[in-house]
Amino acid sequence: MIYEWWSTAVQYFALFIAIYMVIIILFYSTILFISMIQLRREYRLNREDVYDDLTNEMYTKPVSIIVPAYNEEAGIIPSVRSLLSINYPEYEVIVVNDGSKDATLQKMIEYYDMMKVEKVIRKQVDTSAIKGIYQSKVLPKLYMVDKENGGKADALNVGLNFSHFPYICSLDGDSVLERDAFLKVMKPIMDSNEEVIASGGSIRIANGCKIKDGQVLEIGLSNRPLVVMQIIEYLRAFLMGRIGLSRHNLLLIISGAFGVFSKKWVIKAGGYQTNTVGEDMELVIKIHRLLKESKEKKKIVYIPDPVCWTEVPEEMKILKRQRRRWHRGLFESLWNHKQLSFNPKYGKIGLISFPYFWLIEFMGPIVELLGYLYTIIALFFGGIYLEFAILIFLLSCIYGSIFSMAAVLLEEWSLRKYPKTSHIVTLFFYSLTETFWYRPLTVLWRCEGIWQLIRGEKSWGDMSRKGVSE
Amino acid sequence: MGQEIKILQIVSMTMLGLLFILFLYLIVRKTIEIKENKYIQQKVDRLKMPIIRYLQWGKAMELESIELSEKRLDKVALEKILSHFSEMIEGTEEENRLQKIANLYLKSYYLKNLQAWSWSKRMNVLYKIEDFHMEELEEAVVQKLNGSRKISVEEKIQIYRILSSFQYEAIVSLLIQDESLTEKEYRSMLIRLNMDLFHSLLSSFSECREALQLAILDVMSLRKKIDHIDFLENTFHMYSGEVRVRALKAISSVGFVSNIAPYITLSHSTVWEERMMLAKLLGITKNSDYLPILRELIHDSSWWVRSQAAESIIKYKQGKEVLQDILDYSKDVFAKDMALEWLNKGAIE
Repeated sequence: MIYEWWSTAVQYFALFIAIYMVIIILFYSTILFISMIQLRREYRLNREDVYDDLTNEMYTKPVSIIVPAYNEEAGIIPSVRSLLSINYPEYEVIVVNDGSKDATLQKMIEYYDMMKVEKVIRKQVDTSAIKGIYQSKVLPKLYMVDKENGGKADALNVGLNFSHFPYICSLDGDSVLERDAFLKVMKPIMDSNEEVIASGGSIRIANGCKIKDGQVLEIGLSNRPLVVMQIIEYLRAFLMGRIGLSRHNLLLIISGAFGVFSKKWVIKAGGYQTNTVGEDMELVIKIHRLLKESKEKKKIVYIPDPVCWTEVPEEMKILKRQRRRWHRGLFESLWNHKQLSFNPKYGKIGLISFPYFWLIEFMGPIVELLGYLYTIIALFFGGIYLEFAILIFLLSCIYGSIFSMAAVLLEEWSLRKYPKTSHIVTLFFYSLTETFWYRPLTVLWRCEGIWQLIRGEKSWGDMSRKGVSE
Repeated sequence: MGQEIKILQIVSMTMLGLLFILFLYLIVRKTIEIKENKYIQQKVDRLKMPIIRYLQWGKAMELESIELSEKRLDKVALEKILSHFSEMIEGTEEENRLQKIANLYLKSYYLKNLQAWSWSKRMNVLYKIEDFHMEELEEAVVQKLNGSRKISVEEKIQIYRILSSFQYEAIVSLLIQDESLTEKEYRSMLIRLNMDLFHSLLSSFSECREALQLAILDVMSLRKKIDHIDFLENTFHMYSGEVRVRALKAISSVGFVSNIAPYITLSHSTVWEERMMLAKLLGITKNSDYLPILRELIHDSSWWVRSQAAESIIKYKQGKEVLQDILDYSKDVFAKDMALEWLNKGAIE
């Protein structure tokens, strides 16, 4: 009797996991389909021509680029240099030195010949104290604000107060932009006549590329499996996920590493929130809320083509820390705005985006982990359990490997950033292996993140950087 | 249960199979393309010098020595070279020669591609027609506009741009009749028009949609032509709202007013843009009778007005002393900050 009861319970449990995965797969298939249509449309358009018109127009909107820098002496000089050579008619670069303990400040002052200036700062968002403002003598559009340490969000807020232009872009101190990235990312804003108030580009992985003086010379693949898997993961997240979400204005994330916002709206949202890890997601959600509450029809979009190259962890240990932190950040942002969840007042954001992030992004790892455990245990029991185990295994193959393979092909079908045939072959076969090692690992790390949340741990962990430039 | 697993197995195997087929296709395509690009690059290297010589000195002999087959890749190679030069060359003779080559070798290829099934192919051709100024294709382009096949918005916009830069007579009425273009799109067309066509548009200014009116005013602000000043002043006095603000903006960008007096009342305008423009105009006039108004404007509630007022004050001969005076004696912290900033500005720039 008890055995039968137990057996039914286990079967229902397995059924639940299977159904959950089927739902996820259907959801992703839909998104994949939307992305395909979207990407296909712009396939093989001579992109330079399209943007040509923008550079000639004297009406391009000026942008303030804010680069928060904390102990970035290794990468700040080439990073800034790459910013100074971008192809955009009017912009300023504001490096915010967030009380670095290393030589970031001195290096900048020496290299770019900067001098202290008196400047008025419109204080629109509260920040920690400013120690001094510097301007380059040779490149007047380059500024540096030296401030007391207050974290990345606080540094961004200082940049926000200081900026002179109506659009701001936040950029990580250790990433490299393609020359036309700004034109491309600003295009939807200008084309839509300001209906689009924020737009973000793609993040790609710089490990393995040849980069010199802040310019990508040659795109390549790293020979570390862990990095290759991250490349695939990013392709999947950006090309599949974000395009699909962006199409219907469902986007909740614009990467902190590369995104442009209308300053007016960032200020309305109170700037960047300082006590969270996910200040980028937090800001986007807040803007969405403001839009819904004031009933304005504005949009937040993602554009796949402009690319920002950035460094990712190569060590298992650091990657693990990063993933735990991301997952906790995700929870924080969702929790801070929990009243939006399933709330019809917030339209599609409340009814689709939030449930998606809660049920698939946040809870997903738990269900997947249970699925793995079930599969392993079922191997020992055999019989009826085994059938479910096979079912779950097949589903996770579709979810893990097949979608990743599709993402790699989608990249080669549309954007084609990788120059060699061998790159695609490598990416394709690596993605085939995802279900067997990388996926379970990330699932485990994210579950650890949840475990840390439950235990109330607070430390975020540092990410050590070696600098992308040679 | 076994049934479901079987179905799922079939599903995943089919998906895997499809992905592999797609994979093979993409790999083959990439390999072919890499080879094609190599061929194109070689062709470009070989054709470059004769074409440069022809463009520079017009030696027809050089043109004859160009080996160009009807192959698509050859056309692409030529297109690549011409695109490169079309951005660089100056002088009508060189431009005419470039057009001549384009017409000679690319016309039929483009005519075919204009009807292509793929949208991006058609768009690319439209861009090139403008880049190479291929007026011989004007008719074909106009036909596309009136053709039975529906064209996308992007195509229509690019066609309008082409017709504008070709100074096509009927473009003005096309622009006036169009109901869907945005201000920015209008601007990109107007900027391509020559003075005659642009003037013919002004006579029907009052009938234009607001987006077009604003674009016209913005183009005047860009061109900074003094002959527009009468028109702009009239518009400023007769219209209201955004049109009025833009007219004012254009006036200040042209940098000349016949008489500043009628604008002085703007210092009490409720629209900050108008106060800012007044501050700007006063910086151009540099009549020290109006310095008190600028002193008033540097105490404005809007940051933009204060900033502009300070910028205008510093242009006056006694500007520095005025700002110093504000810095020393004003009770308004914001005005003081602004004065300080502009006094320090001389250091850089």
